Amino acid sequence: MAPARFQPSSIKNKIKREEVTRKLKKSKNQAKLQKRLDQAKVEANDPAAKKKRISENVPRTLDNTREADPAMLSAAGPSSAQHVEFSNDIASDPFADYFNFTQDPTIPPKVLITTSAKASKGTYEFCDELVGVFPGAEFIRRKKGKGFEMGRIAGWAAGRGYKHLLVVNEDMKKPNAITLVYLPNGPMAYFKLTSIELTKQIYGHARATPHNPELVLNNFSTTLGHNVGRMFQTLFPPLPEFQGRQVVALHNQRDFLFFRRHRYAFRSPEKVALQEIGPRFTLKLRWVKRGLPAVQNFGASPDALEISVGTEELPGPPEETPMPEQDEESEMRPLEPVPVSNPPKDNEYIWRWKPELETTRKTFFL
Amino acid sequence: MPRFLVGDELGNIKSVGYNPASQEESKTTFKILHDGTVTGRTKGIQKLALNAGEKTLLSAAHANGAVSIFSSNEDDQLELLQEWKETRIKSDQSFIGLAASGSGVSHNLAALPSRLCDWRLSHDKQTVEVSLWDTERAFSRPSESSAKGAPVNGSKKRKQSDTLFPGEVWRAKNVPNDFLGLRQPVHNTCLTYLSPSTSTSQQHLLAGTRLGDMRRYDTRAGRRPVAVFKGVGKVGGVKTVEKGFSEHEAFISDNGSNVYAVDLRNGSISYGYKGLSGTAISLAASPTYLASASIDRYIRIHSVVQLPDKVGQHLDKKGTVLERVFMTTIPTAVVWDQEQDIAPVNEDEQGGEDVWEGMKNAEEGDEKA
Repeated sequence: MAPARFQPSSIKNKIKREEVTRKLKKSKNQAKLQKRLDQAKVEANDPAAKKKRISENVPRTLDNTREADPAMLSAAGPSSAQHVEFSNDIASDPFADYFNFTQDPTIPPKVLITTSAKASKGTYEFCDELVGVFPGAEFIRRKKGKGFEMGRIAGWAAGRGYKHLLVVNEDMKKPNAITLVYLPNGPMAYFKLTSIELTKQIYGHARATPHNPELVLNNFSTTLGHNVGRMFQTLFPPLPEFQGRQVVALHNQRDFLFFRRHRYAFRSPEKVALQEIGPRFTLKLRWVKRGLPAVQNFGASPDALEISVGTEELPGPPEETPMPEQDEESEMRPLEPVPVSNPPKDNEYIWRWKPELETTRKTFFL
Repeated sequence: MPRFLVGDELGNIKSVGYNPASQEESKTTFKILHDGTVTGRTKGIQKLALNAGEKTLLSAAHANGAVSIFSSNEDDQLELLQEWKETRIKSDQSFIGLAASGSGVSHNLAALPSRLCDWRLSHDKQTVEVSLWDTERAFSRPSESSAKGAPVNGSKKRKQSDTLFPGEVWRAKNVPNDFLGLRQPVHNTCLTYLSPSTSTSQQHLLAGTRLGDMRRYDTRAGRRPVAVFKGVGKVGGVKTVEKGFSEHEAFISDNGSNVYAVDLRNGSISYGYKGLSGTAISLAASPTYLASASIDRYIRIHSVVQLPDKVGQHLDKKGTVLERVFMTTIPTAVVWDQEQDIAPVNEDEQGGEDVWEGMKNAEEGDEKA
């Protein structure tokens, strides 16, 4: 059996005991520092050794020990069967219209920003900033009352050509959540909003310009993450104006989405300087529902039951009308009238965060 | 090993089999039976129905109004037998029910069999009471076009709303007015059959409502519901209801991410399944397991626990989610394969008997006094 080490805690005299522990700790720290200095000296002459040490000692974090999730699109490459099926799925989801580029890609999609009923100053200021962030955004004050439910507003906005409805919810005089509804009948997502810093609160902030920004979407790995990323992508015009040198980043880390807006400047072909513009906030996805927001009207009397008598067959799908010449001449085709659908009676959850889903600290959903 | 067939939004048909005895980490086997990805969402599957006769036939109703029948061949792939298109269906209407029986499907009309059909709420917000139709009578006059694959809206109004339509056998009546004397609103969302007797004329029906209630009707016993189970669908009303294989058992899912097993004797929830993150839009029960398809792209296999003999008795074990299988596209319908399990040979018992046979018989003088 090895001899027991001398423990300073066995000294009963407090002054002496503290002296001895202080000395012991100092000598340990000195030894560690000396070791690091020697290592630095060796590495100053031999950069390969430094690389080797760094590549061996990768710290283990929750991000890189994330639990394997079947919903994660693996790095198996774009030709794997899962990717093929997923890209087919994406090609016909509600956001596919944006990626077909049928209209002028520099025209921004219209976004309607509003608040919950009876908002206060903090929320209005935040909405002002949001109007500056999204190029096609408009702010409209929300009225309070029975006919102004979110589902009805979504229906009207869809009829007037808006592509998104963004509702900033307020609690205790501060904005706390964002509901993003994709129109005309797309999914809706609800995010919790925290850590808001407006432009004026950021020290040394840059000035925003009305150029279309570039977009950086980081770290969306699961199918749910992809859908949220695409939803966010459709808020901005497809073609950015590079002359504006503005970039909007939505970075996902551990299911928190960090929104930042920067202006970049190349000091040299390798070095870039960033200056932050605009609001900075954090979002956390709480649920995603299918369809427009539901509007309940329990007291309405039912229509009489009818049977459709039509036996005539509807005409088959219209044949493809050839339009090769028109595409070259005019960039913009007149918009087809958007079919306005009434808000549904109930919504289904595509995904919903529940505490029981977080089985370990290493499970993430985006 | 029960197998479930799943249809999804792109028109694929896949099969998920669950083998409880397998020693591997994942007890499910997953196979793609019919690949429909190239057609996009226009041919997404809305309803699936299986008929297990001499040959297993699977019929699928698609979003563009087409209905196809498949049969499975030897190497487990699905062959398309027949396909036709319901041209009367409009773009915002959807198939609301599909059932398959031995006689197959009639060509003239949408996919409906010679037995009874499901009625359901449609997209255009109509509120209808549960009703029972005799489809033979209804379809005997094709000029009147009672195609029940699509919800109704249209030109002819009935003068009196209470008379039965041609072919309609029975229509339910609303529950009595509430304590304020107001009519209780009718918002039925889903329907299933319980058949306590084999005769087709008496059927018990279970209907779920948007307010979260479940109503049980007996077509012989009158028009009002026999029982109303309140508060079963907790979030947003009842989405689907499916009868379990044991008596008095039904599974429901609501518009939040909940799936519950309900005891039909007293209408209370026996247990619920945890771990779902999206609405389950389709449930399929087999004698031993339950499969659910939910729009968070997972098919889950659940274990089913026998309900206690006495009503309200405490359940020791509750049902759990055994496994989940990820589907890359959103699944829309799931049905059970209807292949009865072969009773597993009980090898332990036989081994035990060998032990006994190998022993010597005790004799009288062996035991010492």
